Amino acid sequence: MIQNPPPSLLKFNLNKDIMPLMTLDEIAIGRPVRILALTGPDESERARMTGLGLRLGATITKVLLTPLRDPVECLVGPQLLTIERRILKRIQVEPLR
Amino acid sequence: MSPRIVALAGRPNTGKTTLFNALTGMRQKVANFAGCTVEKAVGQVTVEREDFEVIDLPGTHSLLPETSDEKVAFNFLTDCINEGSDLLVLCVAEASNIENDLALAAGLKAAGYPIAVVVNMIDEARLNDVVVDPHALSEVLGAPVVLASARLGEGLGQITALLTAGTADGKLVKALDFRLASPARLRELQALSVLTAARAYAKAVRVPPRVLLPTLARSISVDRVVFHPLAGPLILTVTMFLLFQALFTGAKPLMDFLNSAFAAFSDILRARLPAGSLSDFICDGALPGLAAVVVFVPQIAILFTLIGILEHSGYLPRAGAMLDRALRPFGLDGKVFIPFLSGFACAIPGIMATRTISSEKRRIVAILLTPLMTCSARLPVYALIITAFVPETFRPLGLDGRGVVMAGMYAFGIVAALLLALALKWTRLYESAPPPITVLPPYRLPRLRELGRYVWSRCWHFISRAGQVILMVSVVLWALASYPRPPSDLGHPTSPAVRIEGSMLGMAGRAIEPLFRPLGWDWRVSVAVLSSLAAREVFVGTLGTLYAMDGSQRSPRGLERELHDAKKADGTPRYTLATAVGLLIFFAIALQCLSTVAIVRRETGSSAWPTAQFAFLFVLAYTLSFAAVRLLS
Repeated sequence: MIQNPPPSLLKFNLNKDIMPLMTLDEIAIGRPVRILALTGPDESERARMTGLGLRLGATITKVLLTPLRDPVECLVGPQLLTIERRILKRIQVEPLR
Repeated sequence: MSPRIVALAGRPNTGKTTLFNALTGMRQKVANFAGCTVEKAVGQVTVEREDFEVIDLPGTHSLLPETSDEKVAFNFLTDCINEGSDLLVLCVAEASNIENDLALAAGLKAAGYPIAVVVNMIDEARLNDVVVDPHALSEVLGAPVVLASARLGEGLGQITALLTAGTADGKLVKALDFRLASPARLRELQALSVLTAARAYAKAVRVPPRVLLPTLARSISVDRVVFHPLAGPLILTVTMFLLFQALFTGAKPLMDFLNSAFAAFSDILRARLPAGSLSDFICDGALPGLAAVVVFVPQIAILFTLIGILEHSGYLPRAGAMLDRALRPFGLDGKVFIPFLSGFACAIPGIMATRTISSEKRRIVAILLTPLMTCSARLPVYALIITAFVPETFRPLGLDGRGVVMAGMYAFGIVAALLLALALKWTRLYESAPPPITVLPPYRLPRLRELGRYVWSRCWHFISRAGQVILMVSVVLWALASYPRPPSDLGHPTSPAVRIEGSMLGMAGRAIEPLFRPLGWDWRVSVAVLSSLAAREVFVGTLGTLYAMDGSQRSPRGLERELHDAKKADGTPRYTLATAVGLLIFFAIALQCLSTVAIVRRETGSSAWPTAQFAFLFVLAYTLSFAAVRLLS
């Protein structure tokens, strides 16, 4: 049983039985994290998300909540996005070293 | 030989349009992309006596087109190649966001299109300490690269030099047909181009390490206020209030002036021209039709100046994001904010603004509901009915009762739209998971020239698109209202009211009178409602004519009293308060505007939508109006 796998391993091992994965909705505001995977049923939508800067390895930070707490303003690379809350669960991340 | 086509492609907010304006100057025109209604800005550039046709493509976010705008952009590129045109795609990238922007260039290159890259806003990048090496970039991308600032005119010479140079590689590559490409092929292409862009970025761009770019830091600190739980909604409310205030106080005098100018001009012409059909056609048919178009231009110009400032500064997408959550239970989202807002001036620009909505279903819903916003053409109708039938003594809570009713009509339109949106959730038009991500551009100061062009293009669209329909319908209605002519007995010229009564329109009004009698309308109101299909405010003019004893009476105050005091043959009032409330409800809901119907047809590409929309809103308006009349009388 691996207790604390090094972050590099995470990229290759996405087996949920072994290690819990973090998703963006669990991350505190202002804490930069790295995108590991985008999940979700629609492949084309995921491909479009890469066009918006949401690609594997990119750094993402939740910046602010909008007044109704949804969507959430995020900093992805050099641009600001608003992302709906339901999507945050579909962005798997790891902390930055 | 046809001129070489230079297509400007890029993501929204990369400064494509600024570059387009800088390159072409005043030599531009607006046309339509083949087979659809998305407008195409075409400009001319002449370099060394060679002409180039420059086209500003709609913004695209990825190589997988989603919105109708994006589809048009890719289809245009495909068509150029298929027709064998000499094409060069100028891919515009924002220097401070270059990694994301380069993916399009890399993708088009990989898809076999001849490209060159313009790294725009290099001035802003310098402020951000971002350094871009054009040679390294060019090496990785395999295409010429120019650093430029379209705002400052920097690098324009190099860009024009690019145009004359031959296509980068002489080899003929079969370009990808975006119309036929499978989603899997496009996803593959997108993945590849993201990788290439990352490689180019790593090799050619130096960003200060671990520091937030100053432009971003500034935008985030502004957002802390704009998205503040208390200040945010307050700022939005105040902004909207000021916008409407400016719209009404600013546009009213101009509209009144234009109205009286047209009336005066018509009087002068009538005096000069020999009496007869021609003079009637010009003074009663064509001129009022023209006036009906022109009087809306000040409102549209003012509204779009303000919307333009909000949009160019970067506030509008944030306002949409703030409302997003609140609109979701109704099956709408923040993207309907701009169409609905525009709808308060006129539904036509509002419906055209729905093009940036990526979900096709949500776009249709927005198109169907935008006409429920209280457009400025409803105002004269509301004003007439309210002044005639809401007594001056009606002062709820000490407020001006007529103003309260007018404000109530605005609220009524919004509530009706939201309720209908809710109802549409149970139809096939409901899109449960619209695209969830919006780009927030950095805050920027709007520039006067860009703003001027934006406002001008909106006004021009209105004049050219809606104008045609309004003018045509006005002339047709005039003809229906003037023919057949009554047998005029010499010495007793017939009054306009008598003339309309005997005309085809009058006959039609009498024919439909039974249909509208349950609402308390007589043939005069029925005729006026028919004529208001040209533009809602024509209702006031037609009633004015029908109630005028002689042709000269134009005073609107007189008309209000006439309506209020009108009696039936048995001495009871011809119109009651119930009738008035019914009329207000009818005008709030019914799609009483043929120009809107025409625009919906163009924008949806089918006659089915506008037909269904017109029929449904008519039935709903009639039913609600009938219910109100029953309840009140």
